[in-house]
Amino acid sequence: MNCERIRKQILEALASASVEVSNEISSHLQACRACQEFHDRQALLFRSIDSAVRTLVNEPVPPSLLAGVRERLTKTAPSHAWGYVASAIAATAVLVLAWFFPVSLFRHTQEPNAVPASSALNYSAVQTTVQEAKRPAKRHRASRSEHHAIILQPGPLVTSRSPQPANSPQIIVDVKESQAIFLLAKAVYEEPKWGRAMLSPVPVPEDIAPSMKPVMVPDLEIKSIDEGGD
Amino acid sequence: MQELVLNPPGRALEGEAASQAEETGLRREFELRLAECGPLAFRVAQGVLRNAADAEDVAQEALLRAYRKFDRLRDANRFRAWLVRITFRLALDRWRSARRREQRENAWAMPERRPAPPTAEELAASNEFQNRLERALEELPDKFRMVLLLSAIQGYTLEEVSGMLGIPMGTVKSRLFFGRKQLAEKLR
Repeated sequence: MNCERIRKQILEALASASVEVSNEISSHLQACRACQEFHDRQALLFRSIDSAVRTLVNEPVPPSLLAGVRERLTKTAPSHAWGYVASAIAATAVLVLAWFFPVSLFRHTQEPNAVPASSALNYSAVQTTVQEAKRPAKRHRASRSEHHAIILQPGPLVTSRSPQPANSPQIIVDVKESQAIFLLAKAVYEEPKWGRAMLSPVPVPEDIAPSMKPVMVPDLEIKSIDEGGD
Repeated sequence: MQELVLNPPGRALEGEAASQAEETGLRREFELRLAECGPLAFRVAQGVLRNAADAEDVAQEALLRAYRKFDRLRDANRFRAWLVRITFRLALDRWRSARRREQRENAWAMPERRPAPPTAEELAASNEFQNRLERALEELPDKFRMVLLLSAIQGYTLEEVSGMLGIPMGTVKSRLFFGRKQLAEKLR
């Protein structure tokens, strides 16, 4: 009976990894050979468990671990690079859309008279529709009046008040740049060779290149126009 | 429909420079944490998976996730605690899905051939013990297993384990006690 209690205590002492054994246990072990053997076996078992777990978790760290993380980090595009990518996509989209779709409509919210009078398009026909009124996002309230929508539609140039199909491709641009982009789109439509030239730029001669200043592409965001609006 | 909004160039460039500087700083700090905690992530994963290649993959995944959340994990202790938890969870997920796959494959496969018995008796005993220990570890409740693995990693004290897991020192000791006791019972 005493042995059973002592053995229970031995197991608890070994499981808690305590170095010291109580006086009661040590004096019993000196007197009882069977319990001493039990203690030795159990101590060996716990030492083996500790040793095996330590070996398992302390395996040498592969040298490729950190290099692999760095590589995977580099593969993940950094956030600021998205601005450049999106700018390039937007510029290409303007050129490609303008090439294939004649500019049929130019909606704006302000400065309607600033559009060149020589333009063949009828702006007055569409001034009643205000694109900015459809833009609901609170965080963009400050820039509401600073953007224009260029709507591109297949077919001949529209000069009437006919309503535009809801699914016509639209490009929302900064008001300062809208006229330039509009003129660009119009030029590409009237003279497709400009579009081709812009999509296949001529290499810059080496003697000119050093004098050129790098073009700074502004930051660009892509937001859903339907987000909470309409 | 997508809307493309072009910000005014000046403001955009200022913002660009600031965000680049921020990102460089963030990356530098992350590099420090990476060198410090990368091995820990590997060891936690290795303790669960017992396969260096899988453990490396899981540790890398955990470190990548840590990078994505690094703006909220800049404090070293917080980072380490978060990393240990996410690594353990990812490793468990990986281990469970591997086990499910294995069970599926075994259900359809021919009865597998048993490996030839090892020549040296000692080696056999040692391998058998290792296999039994691994099975016993798998059967341990997660909370015991995690404490057991973390406390076995070289260089970490029980106090540090308590900090990493966000549990009191007494709880660490009692989980360690029950974990070791259960392991011994399974292996006896």
